[in-house]
Amino acid sequence: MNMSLAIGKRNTFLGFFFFLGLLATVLIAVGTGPMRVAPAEVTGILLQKIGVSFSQFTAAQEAVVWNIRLPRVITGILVGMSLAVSGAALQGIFRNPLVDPGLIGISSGAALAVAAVVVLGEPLIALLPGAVRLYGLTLVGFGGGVAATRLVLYIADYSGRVRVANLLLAGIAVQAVTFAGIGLLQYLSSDQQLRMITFWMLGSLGGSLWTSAAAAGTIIVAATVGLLSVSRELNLLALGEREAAQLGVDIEKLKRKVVLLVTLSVGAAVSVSGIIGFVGLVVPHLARMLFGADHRSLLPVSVFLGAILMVFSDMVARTVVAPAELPIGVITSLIGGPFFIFLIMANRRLT
Amino acid sequence: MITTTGVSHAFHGNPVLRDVSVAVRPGQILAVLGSNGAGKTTLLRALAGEIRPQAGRITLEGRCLSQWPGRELALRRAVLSQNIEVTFPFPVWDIVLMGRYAHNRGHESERDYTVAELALKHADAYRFIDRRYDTLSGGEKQRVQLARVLAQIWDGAGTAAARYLFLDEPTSSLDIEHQYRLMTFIRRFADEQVGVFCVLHDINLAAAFADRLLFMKDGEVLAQGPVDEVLSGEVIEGTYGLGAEIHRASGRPFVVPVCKEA
Repeated sequence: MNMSLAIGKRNTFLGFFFFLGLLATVLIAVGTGPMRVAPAEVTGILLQKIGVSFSQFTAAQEAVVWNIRLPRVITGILVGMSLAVSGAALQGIFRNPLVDPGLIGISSGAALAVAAVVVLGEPLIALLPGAVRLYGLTLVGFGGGVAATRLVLYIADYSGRVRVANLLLAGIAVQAVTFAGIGLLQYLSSDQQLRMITFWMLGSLGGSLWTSAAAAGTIIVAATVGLLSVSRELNLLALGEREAAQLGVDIEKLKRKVVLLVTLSVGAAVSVSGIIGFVGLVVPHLARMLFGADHRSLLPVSVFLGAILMVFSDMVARTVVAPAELPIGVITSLIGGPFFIFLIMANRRLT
Repeated sequence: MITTTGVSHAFHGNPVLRDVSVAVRPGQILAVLGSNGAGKTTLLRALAGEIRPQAGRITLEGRCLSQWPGRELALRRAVLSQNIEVTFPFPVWDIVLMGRYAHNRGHESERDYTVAELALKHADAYRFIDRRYDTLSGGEKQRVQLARVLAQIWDGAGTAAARYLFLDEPTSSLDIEHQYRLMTFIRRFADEQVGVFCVLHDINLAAAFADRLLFMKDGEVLAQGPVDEVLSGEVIEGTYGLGAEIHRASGRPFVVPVCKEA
């Protein structure tokens, strides 16, 4: 009997399967829109960038694919994987399957900061030099998210031995206050500002550029690698903090590390996409129901499922009411929700 | 050897351990008895290095317990707590392998699989190997957790290093057959130079398998010593407020408690 080999083979197979799935989703998503580009042509455009000639395409197709759609799809991959893997890691560290990254204040803090600047501080942004102005809201969102999370951790006294229940309560309290603040700002805002806030709160990948994707991508990829590296320790934590400590895990160090990585990763994601609900909570559940609770597979599977769901949802968001766009948060919930309900009911019958 | 000298501890101002001095010796089973809230579990947690007592000193092999790195400690001592809830639906096999973390940092080798299988067999839980932990009953879960704990210290930090096993009411959800199987196995395990600290409620089970008994009352050590010397009607009455007849016909002392009001 050689279980390790069997599991290793299964994981390699799964990884390959998910990679192909993501690749196919990207090729379709990049080709879909007002100007259709066939997957073969998309492949040609991408391969040409690394000097390989594969198929014929027009300059217009290349411009649309390379300058408009690809940065958006890449941003979708990054945001999807960030939210999903962060949700999975937080659920593991807090030993609570109901936790999502929004609960420790990242998203609502970012939204409040952005709303405040949109309603009260637009003159300030206009004063900034052009290059910085472009990233003004992104930076504000990132800062707001990180600040709100710090506040939640401070309230829960995270420096000492934090109780998870305190952290969740602090998160809920801060979230309530920030949403009240956003509500107040919406009340004060002009029609155009209101539209901007609403769109930001429901999420959109519409503003994606290569530069913003690269900036957020650096943080998200680094944080994801960091989170994947603690998957074994997250497994042990399922036994309880006490048991994990008895087995030799430095619990406090692990918690600080995971919370820091998640804050940076989701802060970066929210700053380029706005608030996108559902993914951080439900993708980990989906991954767990499909492939088991082991974080060594759960985290990578969440990365891929999150990315695929996000790219697909964004494709739907920008095409169904074209030339207008729907907020992507609406789509992620609309696609994921019923599927999740189906899984819950199927699971209920099994157990 | 793990020793405490003059250990005292309080939770929120309520003293739970007062001036406790005990020793856990390799090769011996120390059974700890006492009423609910007598401080048995707190003493276990202090000896296992989980809480640092406010006063007194705990040493492992002569070195202060708090100076041992977590991993070194994990190679030498394992702790079976009561009612362990596992958050996510892990398979039994994965749970047992988690016991090997200090040895492999999560990168499992053939040795880890061999040990996990042996531990499952000895904890009489091998037939749950393909089950999901959350589908087991209370007693079955307890046996799986025992297997995990055994896997942790199956082979110690080195051939010379002593190993210690802490058990908090390991028999609480087991049927009679499994209580005796478990204690018989623990006895054999202790004979391989493992020091066992075991909180029990059944005085007779303790008397039948332990080398030494420790009676606790209100955070204090009421009496401790070899089974035959320490077990008396007086000690039982002091610990539980119950009268007791002690029969010695079968070789091992057998205690029949008597409720005095009755």
